[in-house]
Order: sequence, then structure tokens, then C-alpha cells
Amino acid sequence: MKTQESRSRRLSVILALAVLALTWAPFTPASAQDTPVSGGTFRTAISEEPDQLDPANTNQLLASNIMNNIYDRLVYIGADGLPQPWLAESWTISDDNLTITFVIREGVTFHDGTVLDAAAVKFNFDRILDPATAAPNKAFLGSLASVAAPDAVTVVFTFASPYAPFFTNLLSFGIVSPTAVESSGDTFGRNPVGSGPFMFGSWDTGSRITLVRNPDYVNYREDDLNKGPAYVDEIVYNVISEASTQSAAFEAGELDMINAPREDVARLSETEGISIVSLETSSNINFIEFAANEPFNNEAFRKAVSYAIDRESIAEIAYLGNATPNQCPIPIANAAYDAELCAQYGSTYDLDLARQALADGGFVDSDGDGIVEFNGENVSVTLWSYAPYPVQSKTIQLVQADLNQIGLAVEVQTVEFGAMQPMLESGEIGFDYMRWTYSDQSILSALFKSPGWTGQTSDPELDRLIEASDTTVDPEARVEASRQVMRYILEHAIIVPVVSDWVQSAVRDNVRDYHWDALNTERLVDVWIAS
Amino acid sequence: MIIAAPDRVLSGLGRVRGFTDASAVTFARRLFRYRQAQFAGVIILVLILAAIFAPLIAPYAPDAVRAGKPLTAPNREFLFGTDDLGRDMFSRMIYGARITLWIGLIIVAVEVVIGVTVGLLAGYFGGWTDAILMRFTDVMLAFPGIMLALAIVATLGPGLTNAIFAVALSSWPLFARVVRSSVLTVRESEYMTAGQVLGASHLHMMWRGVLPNVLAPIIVLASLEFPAAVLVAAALSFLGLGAQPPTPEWGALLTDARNYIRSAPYLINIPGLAIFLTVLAFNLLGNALRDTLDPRLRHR
Amino acid sequence: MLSFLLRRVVMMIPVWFAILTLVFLMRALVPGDPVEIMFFGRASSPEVVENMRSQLGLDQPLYRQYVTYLGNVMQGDLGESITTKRPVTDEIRDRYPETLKLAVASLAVSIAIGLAAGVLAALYKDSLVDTLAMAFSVAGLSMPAFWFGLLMIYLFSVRLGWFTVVPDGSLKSLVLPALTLGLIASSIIARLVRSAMLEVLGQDYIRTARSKGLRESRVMSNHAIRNALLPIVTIVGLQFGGLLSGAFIIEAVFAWHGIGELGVQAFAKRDFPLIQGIVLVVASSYVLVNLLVDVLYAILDPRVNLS
Repeated sequence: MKTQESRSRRLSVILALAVLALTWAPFTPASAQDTPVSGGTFRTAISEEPDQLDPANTNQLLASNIMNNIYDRLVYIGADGLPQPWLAESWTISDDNLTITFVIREGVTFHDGTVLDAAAVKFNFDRILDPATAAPNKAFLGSLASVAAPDAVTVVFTFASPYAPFFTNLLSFGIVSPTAVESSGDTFGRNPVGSGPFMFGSWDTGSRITLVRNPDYVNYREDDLNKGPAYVDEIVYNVISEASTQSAAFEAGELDMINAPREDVARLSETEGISIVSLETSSNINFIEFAANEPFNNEAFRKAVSYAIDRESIAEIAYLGNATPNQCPIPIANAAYDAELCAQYGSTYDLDLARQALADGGFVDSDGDGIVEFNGENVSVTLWSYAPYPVQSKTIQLVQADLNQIGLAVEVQTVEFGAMQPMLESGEIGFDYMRWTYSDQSILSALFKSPGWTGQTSDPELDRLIEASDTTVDPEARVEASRQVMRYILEHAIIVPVVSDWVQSAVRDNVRDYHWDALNTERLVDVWIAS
Repeated sequence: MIIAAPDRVLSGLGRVRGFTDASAVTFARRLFRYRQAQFAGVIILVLILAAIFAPLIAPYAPDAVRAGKPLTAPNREFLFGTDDLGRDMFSRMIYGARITLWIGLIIVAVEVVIGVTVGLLAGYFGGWTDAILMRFTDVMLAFPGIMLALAIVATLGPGLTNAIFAVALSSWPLFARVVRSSVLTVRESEYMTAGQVLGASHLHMMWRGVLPNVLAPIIVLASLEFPAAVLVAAALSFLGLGAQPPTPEWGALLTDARNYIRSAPYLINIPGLAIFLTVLAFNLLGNALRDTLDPRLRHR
Repeated sequence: MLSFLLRRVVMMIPVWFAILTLVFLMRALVPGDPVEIMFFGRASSPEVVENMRSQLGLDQPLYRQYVTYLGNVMQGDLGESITTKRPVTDEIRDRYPETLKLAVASLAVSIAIGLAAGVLAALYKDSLVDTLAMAFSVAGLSMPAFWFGLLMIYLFSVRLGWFTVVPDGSLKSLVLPALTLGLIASSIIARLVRSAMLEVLGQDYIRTARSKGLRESRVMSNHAIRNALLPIVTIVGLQFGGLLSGAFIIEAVFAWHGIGELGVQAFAKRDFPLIQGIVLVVASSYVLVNLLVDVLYAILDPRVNLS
């Protein structure tokens, strides 16, 4: 039901674009507006330079956004949450869930002219598995033990134990050209060769990366509009670290698309010639997490915090309305997301219930100073988040106001990204507002499986539930298993989910068919520029 | 000396004298003959008054969320408008004046203490003490200041106090150099020789003999370092290393408002203008002080 | 002259060595692990993390790392960036020229503005011209860089459309950032030029009046200009360090991809080899430029004894 919604939303975005195009360019023949035309350059900005463009050597989101245009993958995930054929024509899963056999499409070539066959696919995954590569994304292959290519079109993946996240995680593994890897060696990450709709053009260190159209491209994805070569001649990614400078460049007409700064969405959406495209079913989750020390390891304390979170108000004020309140400990785009279940086991904003939870847990204000005590001492805590992001800082200030109302003495503090990890692991950070982006249910194991990503979680029952979710390969049964995990997390307030913020782009009106797929990846193969 | 340049730029300060022999009134009269000083005086006075009487002037608590509708443009009730959490910007700016003045004061104070100590010791004892202390100063000068500040804040943790500390720790070498070169000119004076003959202690000689004679350049440099400190603190806020929310430090207000430059420009222009005027005022005051205390410029 | 130079160079060595040690110690003192940061907000397995750490040599004891580091630096090897896996020397070679370009251009701007304001102020001392010229030069120094830069962009690029916001590699894109930085640096030059001019005008005033008029005034202006050159030479050295690493806000605002931006980003990722390389290069350039300034100063100012 939810996936239905996301598809119709995407469609409505595209329709809205078409309508806008008609209303704002009334003197151009409508037919010229509706039919994609080739040519032009799609200019956009990235906030920093990616480390490299080799899927075996980077795990940056930023890099994968660019790599998505250069490399195709075995499968993609459709709006229904299920894997769909791409470079792999079809696949079969063994009864014991330990082998997956892919049939690779014939006739696909890399940008360097070499053939993308079963051997090439095997080369790719062997490279990731090789400890010498030290691939940062290796964990995404889970229990994958070996890969075999018995003939030119067959690839057999053998697992040590069933590994359910595999299909979604293939998102991280674009297929690279083995010939190019061997000839480029260590510099492959800066001279990437794949089989995708765009070929690597140039990399002007620090300033820009340019991709050029692959004229021979055939698009096998069902969910894209364009089945042939991309329309735009070039994609230019300009490195502009400062968001306000990105906005200025966009407004000066030097960029066709930027990630819309939340603070400016309302104004930009009313500006002529510019539209805001929003993806509300986003794969991120913002939540409050807790350390394993007093009082944060006290369930009553966490429950109280969970009742004191005014999600609507946070979405409205801190995110200026560009986020969806989320009670689930999983991103909204995820197949296991279930608003009803989370409303039932999670908590809704209610300061009286929050006070009640504190009182039940022995947090009482007996000396009448307005601050509750625990074991005879005033409860004085610090809520952290990372800097320098205004939205994080605003959210913790809003939460602070509510927590102070229920009798907790709360300070807020932001800390530079780099310094945060050691503080989380040492437990120095008691509770904090965190954001993760993740496409698969296995976000649950990444975050909470002992010892947890902060090293602060250890709960055998939770581990057991997560294990069940990760090894259940059948998609529907897996969703059910993941929901058991979510229910447990909410019942014990292991974390407090807050919102999923929207993915938003500001695009010029002559840019058409700009959209994302179900896993929030940009599909620039569809984009065309109207005259 | 390896890095002689700063000495020469500031050597003019070595000539700055005569602070002690003029009475405060004649000094002030001479100072405020400068138009720049008059302008600076008015702004600084307003700033100090705002800082002292902040609770009386500010209509709202600076961190009172939802005092008004978020992002209200300046109007009669909210003189400077409200920010995105509905806080009154006027109240935040008034309280921010306190913090800004405080930042400048503390940074300069720490710089003076470290810089003057190092400069005094180096200049007074000379020889190996001088060589070692000055090489150390050279290292600090050559070390990129922002990297040093980043490292200090990362080590001590973020927050206003640590940011202040970081700025001070990376900018005291200027004081050390100025004081040292002033001390060198004083050291050979007859007064000093007399003191040595009479067997006065080193501490006494430095405190009584040397320090008063190098006071004027210290004062001038301090008045010029004050505005620089305010700007550097704002720059640290730009990186998220300075004041913590909800502290209404002006640099933090400026940085937080960066994406509102088109939709709510007052949010960025008000703190921007306030920092500009404050820094300008102190720079002008510093320049006027220097002109007043420089004997070459006085007798004409 | 040669021995003067030689002495300076020899004295540079301990300073340079101390910087090397200090920058190395940063890695031991500053909290944050580059490998952990790499995996921030994404999945990893302990095995992968350990693997990467040993690959980067981070599992070695500190003193061993220090010895290796010193040895490598002596051979001109600054190591590999942890994030990009490229040699640090390559990273710096790509960025440093950009920063140099900006530094030289803004120095030119600041000298032009500072000279004009300083000379005007001195010639019309205590008049409105003096006040305005000095106020103008101080104004640049007093602007918060971030706000100033954004205002320049919105005025000249967005509203007037004279320049592009994104630098296109042309000389034209250098104008706005150089102007912004140059205005900030011009204030000190203006002050120094003004007082240098006043000194000369004051000294020679009576003598000049007494002697032959026009011809003498030409001599004086030659003298005055030479005198005004000294502070400018001096300020180049003083400003250089700031222009190299301290311009990170201007670089960020104008999307100028120099070494200041690289340094801040490297720090956020705790990319220590890169941080060390940047600090080393910036500090070395600072020391070198000041050496040059000393030499130039000695040539320009006959009062300085070279021996």
C-alpha cells in the first residue's frame, strides 16, 4: 500500500513538472515540450569532492550518486521493494537460501568496448572479497563466501549462511570493467570505466567532475522512462562546499539543479522558472539514541524522552515542514515501515505521560526545585548532535525545551563530526540526535546488533530478533521479522525515532523528468533539457 | 632572527611612549580629537551599555523559543524580527553583545598574559632564553593558525570557552614580539643599569623597571587584537566550533542564518552589520590610540 | 650577503623541525579516528575496519610512526591521503597553485588600495580625505569574511551578473575573491604607508621649503615612495601565512578550491597524512617568504646591516 503511494507520488511529481512547463511557457508549441530532446549540459553542484569513483574503494554517498550514472548493477529495487532485472536477466535462489544463480544479459559492453559477461561479474565480486582490496563496502556482502562463473552468462553466488539484505545491498556494487581495473591499477578510482548511461569525462581536481553521454547505451530498467542513451550530452558536477554559494550559483542560472536548502524551499518554490521536486518517502531516519550508562540505560528515562518528543512541531519548525514525522525506527522508504504498528508500540507526544514515566521509574522531584532526582541527585544531562548543521541544532533546542518542562535539566551541545565517534563509543555522549541513511532493513542490524554502531548496545533478545530478520530471505516473511525487531525497539525505547526528512531538489523549469528511484537514487538517464 | 617581518611592522609601536607621563584627562582630550575616536567611542559606549543592561533592555529571554511567529520580519513588536525558532532577534542581539565583548576581552587577556611573559623573559634575559623562546614563537607564527585552532578545539571539545582558548593560544606570538623588541630598547637604559648595581631582583626589575615602559605598545596592540579576536571567533562559528546553541554569539547567529540570505535577509544582515560596526569601532579606536601615543605624530 | 643568507637558512632548520614534530603530535592528541569517520553513518564490520587500519599503518606504535614519518619526509614522501588514497604531494600540487594565485592577486589588490589610501591620507593629513581614506581601508578589515563574501556574490554575480559565481578558471573569476581578500589586507598597508609618508614629509619639510622648490619636491617624492615600499614588502611576509591557510572562509564562499578549504576538510575527516602535508607546506612557505622579505628588506633599506 505504501509502495503504491510512493509510485503515485513520483508520477505526480512528473505530472506537476509537465503542468508547470505548460503554464510557464505558453508560447512554445506544447508538442516540443512533451517530447524529450537530446543535447545540452546538466549542471549541478556537490558539496565536496568524492574520494574516488571505484565501488570497491569508497563508501561515500556522494561518490555513489555519481557512480550511479557510470555503472549499471545486477538488479535494481522496484517500487514494490522487490529486486528487478537489470544487468541480470533473471535469477534463481536455492531452497536452502545459500546459492543465488544469476543469468547475465548478453551483448552488454563496457565503455572501453570490452564485454560485460559472467567472468567480468565474478571479477568484480572477487575483488571486493579479496582482503587485499580492503573494500569499505565489503560488509554489504554479508556471508557471501565465493562467486563462480561456470559459463559466459551464469554467475553463482554461494553464501555461508542465508543473507537477506543481499539484493538491496547490490546497490553498492556497480559493475566495473576488469580490463580497465587491470590497466589503471591504483588510479582506476579517478579513471572509472563502467557500462552505464554516462562515461567518465574528466576530473578537474577540487573543482569539477564531468561525465559524457554513452551513445551506445541500452537501458534495461523497467522503472525508467528512457530506454536508450541518455538525453543530455554532459553532466557537470561543480564542487561548491558552501550551500549559500550553491544557491547563488543556481539563482544566477549557472546550475540546473541543486539540493534545495530547507530554509529556502518555500521561497524557491514560488520563484518563477524554478520548481522544487520533493521525495517524501526518503531512506533516512533521524532519531535519538542512548548510551549504556545512567540514566540513559534506564528504560523509564528513555520512555519519558520518547513521550516528550513533539514530532509534528519539530518537522514544522526545525525542518520548516520539509520532513515527515516518523515513529518507526526505520526509514519511511523501507518495505518494513509500518506507521500503524509504530503508533501502537511507539509513543506519541504527551508531556503528562512523560512525567508519569519518569515518576514510575523513580525520577521524582522531592526537593521542589523543579528538577527530578534519581538516587538523590538532580538529573542533569546533555543532549548532543553534530555540527555545523542548523537543523540538528534547532531540533535539539526544541527537544531541550520539552525535556526541561518534564523536570529534566538538559543542556544541548553540538560537536564536530570527527570528534563525535570516540565520544559515542566511550559513552561520554549520553544521548544524541543522529541521522542515518540506509535502503535496507539491515539498517536494524547495522545500528543495533551487539555491540551496536556506537558500541553501546547489548541485548541478547534484540540480537536474536535481528538475526532472524537478516537470515529470512523470503521478502514478505522478512518484513514480518523486521517488524518484530521494530516492535521490540519501540517497546523498550532503545531509540526514539523522530522524523524522516525529505530529499528535495530545486530544478530549473527547462529541466524535465528529473526524479529518483525507489531507493532514492537519481535517474539522470531520463533527464532532458527543453529549449 | 628568522621571521623579522612582524617586528618591523610593529616596530612603530616601540616608539609609542609617553602614556604614563600624560594625565588621563589630557590623554583623553588628545585621543578624542580624532574623528575616528569619537565615532568609535559612541559605538563602543552603546555596546557596553547594551551588554550591562541587557536584561532590562531585551523584551524577551534570548533563548525563549516561540516568543513570536517564526521568521517574522522586523516590525514594531520585534524590532529585529524573529528567527526560525520564533526567538526575538533583538533580545538575542542585545545578549549577544555581552558575549561578543566577553570573547574579545578574554582572548586579549590570555594573549597579553602569555605574550607579555614570553616577550619580557626573552627581552630581559637575552642569550639562550631569548633564542629558545623566540624560536618557539617563530614556530607558532609559522604554524597555520586555523589548523592549530581546529586541533585545540577538537582536543578540548567544542564550546565557546575552548574556542576562545584556541584563538588566544594561536595568536599570542604578536604580543611576545612587540614586547620583546620594546624591552630591548629599555634594557640598556640608565635606570636599568642603576637597578642592577643596586642589586634589585630580576622580578622587581622586570615588573617595576621594564613593564611600565612597554605598557603603551601593549595597550595599542590589545585594542587592535580585540577586533581581530571577535572576527576569528566568528570564523570558528562558521566551522561549527564556536558558541553552542542557544548561545546568541553574533558569529553563530550569522552562520546559522546563511541559508536565509534570500528568504529572510534580516537574519544574516543584522548580526553581520553588528559585527562589522563593533570591529570597525575597535579598529578605529586602536588606530587613534596609536596616533595619540606616537610621539612623531603628536608634536605637529 | 651569502653568509647572511646561509645563517638564516641554518636557523630555519630547528623551527622547521619543531613544526614537523608538532604536526605529528597533533595526530596523537586530537581525538577521532579516520577509519571510524570513514564509516560514519554506514555499515562496516570490525574485520574491515581493522584491515584498513593496518593498511594505513595506524596500528603501529606512535614512536614507530614518527620515525617512519620523519624518514619519509626527508625523502620528499609526504605519504598517502587516507580518504583519496592519492599521494599527499599530488593533492597539494593540485590545490597549492590555486591558493598562490589568489594570494598574489589579493596582495596586488591590497597594495594598490593600501598605497592609494595611504598616500592620499598622508598628503591631506587631518582632513576629511584622511579620515575617509583610513575609514575605508579599516572597513574592509572589519567585515566578517563570510558575510562580506556573500554580499559581494549577490551584488556582483547574482544581481549585476558581471562575474560567474562558479569559478571557470579564467582570470575574471579571480576578481571577486581577490577583491574581498585584498580589501581585508589593505588596511594595514594603508596605515603603514601613511605613517611612512608622514615621517618623510615631516623630516624633509623644512629643508625642502628652504631649498630650490620643484626639483627638491621631486627628490622628496622619490624618497617618500622608497620609504613607503618598505612597509609593503614587510606586510607581504606578515600577510602571506594568513592568505595561505586563513582564507578558508573566502575560499569556501567563492568555491575557490585552494589549500585552506582542503585543510579544513582534511581535518574534518582526520586525514592526518594530508593535514601534516598541508601544515608543513604552509609553514615552510611562510618561513621561506619571510626569508625572502628579509633579503628584500636588506636591499631596500641601507640601514640594515647584512653581516
